Amino acid sequence: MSTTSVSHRWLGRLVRRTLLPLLLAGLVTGWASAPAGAHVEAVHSSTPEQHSVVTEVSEVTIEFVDGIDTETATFTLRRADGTDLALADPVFSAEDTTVTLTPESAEAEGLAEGRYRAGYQVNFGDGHVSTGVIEFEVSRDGESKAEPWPADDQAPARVEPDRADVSGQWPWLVGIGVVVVAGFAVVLVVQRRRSSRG
Amino acid sequence: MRRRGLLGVGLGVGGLALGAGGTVAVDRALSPHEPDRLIPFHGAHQGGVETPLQAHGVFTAHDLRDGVDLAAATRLMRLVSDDAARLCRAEPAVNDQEPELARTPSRLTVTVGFGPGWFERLGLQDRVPTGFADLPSYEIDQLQRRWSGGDLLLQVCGDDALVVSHAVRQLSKTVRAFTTPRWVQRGFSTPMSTPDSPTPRNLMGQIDGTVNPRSGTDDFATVVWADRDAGVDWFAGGTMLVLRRIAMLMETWDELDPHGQELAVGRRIATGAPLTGQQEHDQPDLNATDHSGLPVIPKFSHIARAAHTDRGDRFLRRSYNYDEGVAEDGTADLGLLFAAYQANLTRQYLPVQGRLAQQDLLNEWTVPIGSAVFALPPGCGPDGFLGEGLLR
Repeated sequence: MSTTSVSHRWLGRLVRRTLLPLLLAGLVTGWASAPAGAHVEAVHSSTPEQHSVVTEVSEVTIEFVDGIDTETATFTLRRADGTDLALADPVFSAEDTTVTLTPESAEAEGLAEGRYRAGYQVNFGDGHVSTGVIEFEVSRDGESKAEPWPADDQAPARVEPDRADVSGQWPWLVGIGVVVVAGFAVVLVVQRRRSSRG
Repeated sequence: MRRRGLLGVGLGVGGLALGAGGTVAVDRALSPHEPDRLIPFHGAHQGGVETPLQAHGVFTAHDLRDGVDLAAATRLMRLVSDDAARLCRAEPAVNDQEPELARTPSRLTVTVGFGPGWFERLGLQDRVPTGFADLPSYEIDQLQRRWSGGDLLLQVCGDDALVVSHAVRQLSKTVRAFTTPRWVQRGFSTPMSTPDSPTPRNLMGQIDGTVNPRSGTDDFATVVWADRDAGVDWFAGGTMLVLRRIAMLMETWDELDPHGQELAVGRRIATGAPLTGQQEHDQPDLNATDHSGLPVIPKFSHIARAAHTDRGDRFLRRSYNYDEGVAEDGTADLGLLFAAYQANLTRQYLPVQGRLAQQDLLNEWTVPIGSAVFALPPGCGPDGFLGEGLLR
């Protein structure tokens, strides 16, 4: 039994017993580490609809997938120039699943032409806060006079969790580990071939 | 041999990198203790308040036995003070059957407090410090008697659990003839070896205690230590403790995504920075809004509700975590021994607690199950004893 064949078998055992389980463990860790999602869909529908162009709007209605805590809910209606419209007290449906927002100003009779952003920050009564916006444009002739809406602008209010110092490191560390182990395996194979030729 | 060695190094490095992903969060928890330090027992103030947080904290409450009068209470405090001073010097207590367990200095502190019942049963109602009273009941409370109340508090903290356990047992023996045990609450934390140590985390993962007054400053003294305005001279240099046992509902907290957790708290979990800042100690901007006009820190997040409205409603947080394993219903039995110290309880603590009880998103995952208040007398000299000004 030559040294080379012993090393070769040993490498095979190593790959089966160590490297493969490590790789599998990495994959499982990756799946298990996916953040749990809760209340992914906060809004069922709204009037006007998200990213729509409408000829006339006097109120904004937002329907949620579940009843919200009306005491903690916050709503805004903002013009494209960043100024906010003062809102009358929001009106909630019987089961607190729908809210209707009406401007307090003269625009209660109908919003002026332009783009608007209705924002909501609500708690579904379980402590979970959902934030998001409904964007729409008022145009008397129904033709949009602005740039197209951004493709992914559902929740610009969202503050992304900053966990880079802990959870953000593991994919890199796992990757480095796999590369290092694989690199040494390649070195072994090359050396084995050289010694076989010799 | 050479190849095998080379492969071993490769696997070692690879394994280290693979393992590092899981140990990143653990490293900080293993910060070194400073077991060779003694915290002086004698002084103007009691230890265990301004002392940087030790790794272990045990709170024990006792009720006075029937028939214990002022003279007996005075003897009790003489004995407790003497034994506590010995233990804090890493010396055995009197009649210590396990003296070896006392000889490891571990920043041990013994802190003594008097509950409302102490004053009542000893006929000292006219000497109760101004601002000291039981908490009102709150709707969020689900208090259990086994974690609430008490005439006499012994708070024992240290970096070595064995030393702390021994000290608690010795002091419990000391007070046994005068009191009956009411409850014992044991906690742990990442220790703070100096005031500049990183702020510890609680079991929800949050950095807890960011807004504390800085040790050694005039601000700390104003917030924590009572002065002559306490209404009774004997309490100058003392402080008032509110101890709340707060159960954490980890099963539902864990269902919340990290973003939802941060919105409920108002701070980033990883750094402790407010959602409007970058660093832990950045001042939260509670009026900041995003580009749709919504508050960056929700109005009913924990820090928005707990934020002090003036200099008067601040206090020192010096809390410990508890973990009792699994409850009867199969859920995790863990939480926080929330300990708040202030010169005047009703002026400083009650406004904050009232706001949090009324509305705080964290209330969804936290339930107060124990509550107690104690007046902690000032410290004493080598020839005196704790509570001397009250009992003489």
